[in-house]
Amino acid sequence: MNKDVKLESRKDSFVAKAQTVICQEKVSSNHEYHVKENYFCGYSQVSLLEKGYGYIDMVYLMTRGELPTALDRQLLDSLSVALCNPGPRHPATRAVMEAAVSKTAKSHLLPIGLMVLGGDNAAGSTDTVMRFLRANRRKPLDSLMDSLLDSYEGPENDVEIAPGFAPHFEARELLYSNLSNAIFKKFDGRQLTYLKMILDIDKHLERSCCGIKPSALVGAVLLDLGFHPRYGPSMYQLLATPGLVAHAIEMSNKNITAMPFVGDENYHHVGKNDD
Amino acid sequence: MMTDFDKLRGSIYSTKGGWTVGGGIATHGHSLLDDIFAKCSVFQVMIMNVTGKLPERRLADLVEGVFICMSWPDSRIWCNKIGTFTAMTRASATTAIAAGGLGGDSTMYGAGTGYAINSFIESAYQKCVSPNNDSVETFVKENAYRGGRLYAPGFARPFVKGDERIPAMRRYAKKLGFEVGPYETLANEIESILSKRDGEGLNLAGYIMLFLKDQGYSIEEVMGIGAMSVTTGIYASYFEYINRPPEAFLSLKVEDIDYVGETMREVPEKPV
Repeated sequence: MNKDVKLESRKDSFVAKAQTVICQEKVSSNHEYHVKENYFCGYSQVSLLEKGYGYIDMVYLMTRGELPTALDRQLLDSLSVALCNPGPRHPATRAVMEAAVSKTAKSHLLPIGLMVLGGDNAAGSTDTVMRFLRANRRKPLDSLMDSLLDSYEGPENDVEIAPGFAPHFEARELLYSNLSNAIFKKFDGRQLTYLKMILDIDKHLERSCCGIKPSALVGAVLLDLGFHPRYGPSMYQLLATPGLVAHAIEMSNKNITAMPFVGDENYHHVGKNDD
Repeated sequence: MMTDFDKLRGSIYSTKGGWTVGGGIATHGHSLLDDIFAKCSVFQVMIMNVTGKLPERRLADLVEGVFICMSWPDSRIWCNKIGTFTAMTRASATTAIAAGGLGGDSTMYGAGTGYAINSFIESAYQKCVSPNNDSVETFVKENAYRGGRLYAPGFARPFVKGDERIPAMRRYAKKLGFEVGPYETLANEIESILSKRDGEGLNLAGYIMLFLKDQGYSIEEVMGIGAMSVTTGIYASYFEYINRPPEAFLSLKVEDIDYVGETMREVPEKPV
């Protein structure tokens, strides 16, 4: 044992039991480790099921603590349609397709996709986007955007002009502007402060190379629904899950040759060994 | 014996080791800092953490040799490609290694092939070595093909016939003073038959499985030792792309995906 350093416990005070406000397990009458029924935020799971509540209701209930209003459910539902699939060219989707075709265990496919999707260029920075939107909500947008556009150093590397706004393939892409507009129009008349804010920012970017990234759309709608920024990355991953699952399983029973493989003639060794 | 769950509420009973403030770090009966640190290799420690026993340095060195041969910098390899995709989204290096490592838990390549290899070679061992003494040739004819195609886990590899890493590993094992054991001897017989019939030989995952079985390790232990064997190439692929533009790996235009599904159609009204 090392005698050089005297270790002293910090005597941190840890709780005796983990606490949660989300799930209450009702103990079975004949086994102390068994559950007879779950209650979520006070609601019986069986009753929720019997009364026809669905997936989006449960996501909202467990993350917000209350069942959604009809409008909130529709808004989260619409966001889930907008985010349902990152597209077959997105790195996260490409990762699950490659893993599936190379016969990775099926239970790993979604985790691989979510891990790749969790990068700061995708879901990982959604909390940063939400904090940026919150911090600037009451500021005059014109001067903010003028200063951002003046100091912008892109489009190389698809660098963001502000959290959630950037080029894609070094140019302005409109897909998520269009989806943001579609949601805004569908909920016309409702106070969608943050969704309006990202669309206003987008108007200032019309002549630039930058556009709305999916993280801005997710972040804005989550803020309008009352979510704290720390929910951002996980909610983005959750919403994109159906597409990742679908693309993964589509490839999982195909031969390895069902994805392109670059031949040796197109694999170029450059750099140090060729000096 | 029934498990006493009540005894496990709030208490941990470890046979592996642990750290107590002022009491040092114990690992499998050793003091980590006094007995292991600066004396053993990380592969010795990893194998000890799997099996509970500190292996000889030469065995850890041989396993390290397999890790070196198993994974190399080439972003076409599927697990490495996952590392590259991780760089494209600017996720962390830890994410790349974890996600790419998961990719290698595959029935086609990497660590996940272990159970099928073990099953195939155990079947051969029982039929041809002990308790039975059938001909290896007959075993191969009857068990190494499915639907007329070669299916012999531990033998052959994707894309190419032959594996330059196997003779290198055999030479290294000999240099380290290891003798060829009964599993490897059996595999060599199977290999010579497959070589004549199909031009195929032992693959690297097969080699290390048989070598470690000859050293007395269980299939679970072998799977644990090899769990992250595909990772060194993932580091390379991740770090090659982490500073490149996000879409600068095998860039895909929209037309580069061949959509073969339903043509565009009207969305029906949502059923109530």
